[in-house]
Amino acid sequence: MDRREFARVAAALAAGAGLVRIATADGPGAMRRYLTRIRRDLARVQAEQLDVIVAAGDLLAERVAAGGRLLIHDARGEYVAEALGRAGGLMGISAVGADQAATIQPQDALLVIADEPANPADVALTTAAHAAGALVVGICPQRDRAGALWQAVYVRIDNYVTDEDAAVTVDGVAMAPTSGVLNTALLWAVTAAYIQAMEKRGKPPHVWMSIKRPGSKAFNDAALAATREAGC
Amino acid sequence: MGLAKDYLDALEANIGAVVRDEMDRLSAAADLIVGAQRDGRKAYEYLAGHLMPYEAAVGRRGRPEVLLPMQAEETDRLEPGDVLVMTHQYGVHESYVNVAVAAKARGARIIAIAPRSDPSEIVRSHPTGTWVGDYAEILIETHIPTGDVALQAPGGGPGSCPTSGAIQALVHWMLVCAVAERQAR
Repeated sequence: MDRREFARVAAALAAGAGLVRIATADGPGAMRRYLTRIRRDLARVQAEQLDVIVAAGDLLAERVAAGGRLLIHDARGEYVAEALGRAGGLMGISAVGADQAATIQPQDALLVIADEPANPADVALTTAAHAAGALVVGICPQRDRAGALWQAVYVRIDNYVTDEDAAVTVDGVAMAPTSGVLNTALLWAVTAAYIQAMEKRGKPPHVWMSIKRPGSKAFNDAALAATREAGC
Repeated sequence: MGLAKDYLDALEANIGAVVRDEMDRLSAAADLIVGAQRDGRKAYEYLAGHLMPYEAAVGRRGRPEVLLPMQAEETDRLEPGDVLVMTHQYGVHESYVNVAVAAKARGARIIAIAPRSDPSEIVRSHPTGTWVGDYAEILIETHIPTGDVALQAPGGGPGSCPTSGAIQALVHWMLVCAVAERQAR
C-alpha cells in the first residue's frame, strides 16, 4: 500500500469515527473534509430523524395551542440569538435563562439546544422544567445515550456532535466544530415542523419579516400586536 | 414530512449553490490571508449578525487561532495590507458598511462573506447606497434565499426559517480549515 492509498483508507476509517485525522497534500483538503462531514450529518438527519422532528413540532404546537409558552434555552446563548428577533423566526418565542427555572409553567414547552451532552446548567433547567410539568424537546448529542441531557429531555433529537466537536485535525490541532451548523439546521427544521403543526390547528404563528425588506416595519408592528393577542 | 423536510432540502440546495460557485473564491481567500500573514501582515475577522458572534467567539471549542477577533470600533488596529474577513447575513446595514469603509480607508484588504442582493428587495441603509461587497477584494456569496426565508407562506406573508446562520457558520469554518492547512504547510 503506497502513501496515497494509505491516506485514503485511513481518512475513510477516521471519517467513520466522526473525526478526520489525516491531513496530507494527497487527500481532500481540510475545507472539503469539513464540508463532507456537515453534508453527511445533514443527510443523516433526513434519513434518521425526520419522524422525531415532526413529532417534536407537533408536541410543541400542542402546548402552545393550549395556551402555553414556547421557550428556548442554550448555555452559550448562541442559538437563542439565532432564534429570537430575526427574519423568518417566530415572534412568539422567548428565552429562558438557567436561573429562571422557577418561571416555567406546567403548560409551557421548552426547546433546549446543547453542544455538550451534560452541561450542568442545561441539565438542571431541563430537570426543573420537566418536574414542573413542561414539555422539553432537546437538540443535543446522543453519543452512547449516556449523556445526562439526553436522558433528561422528553423528545430527543441527535445533533451528532462528537466528544471533540471538531470535524478535522490539521497539524495536530482539532478544529471546525459541527455543532453550530447542525444545531442551527435542527432548530429551523423543528421550527418548520412547529409552524406546520400550528397551521394544522388553525393558529399559524407570526413570523418576523426582515427589517431590510421594504414595508417590514408596518408588517412587523401589526404582527407583533397580533402575537400579543394570540400568544403565538 | 412537510415543512421540516422542505427546510432541510432548501438548506442542502443552499449548500449546493455555495459548493457550485464559491469553492475557488474560498481557496483564493485562504491564499490571500496566508500570503498576507507571511508578509508580516495580520488577518482579522469581524463577525456580525445573530449566530456568528457566538459561533466563532474566542474560546469556542474547535476554534483555532488563525484569525484575530476584531470589533466594529477597533478598525484603527488595521494597518495597510492587513486582511479583514467580514461576515453578515445581508452586509447592507449602515453600521456594518461603515466598518468596511473604515477598513478600506486604512488600506486593509477585505474578504466578505455575504449574499449579493437586489436593492429593491433588500434595502441598503448606508447613505452611499453601497454594501460590503462593494469594498471586498474577494466576495464569498452565501446564496441565501431573498429575505433569508427558506419556506414561503402559502397565503403570502414574509416566509419563514432562515438559512443564513447555518450557511455562514459552514462557510466560516471551511475558510478557517483552508487557512489552517496553508499555515501548516
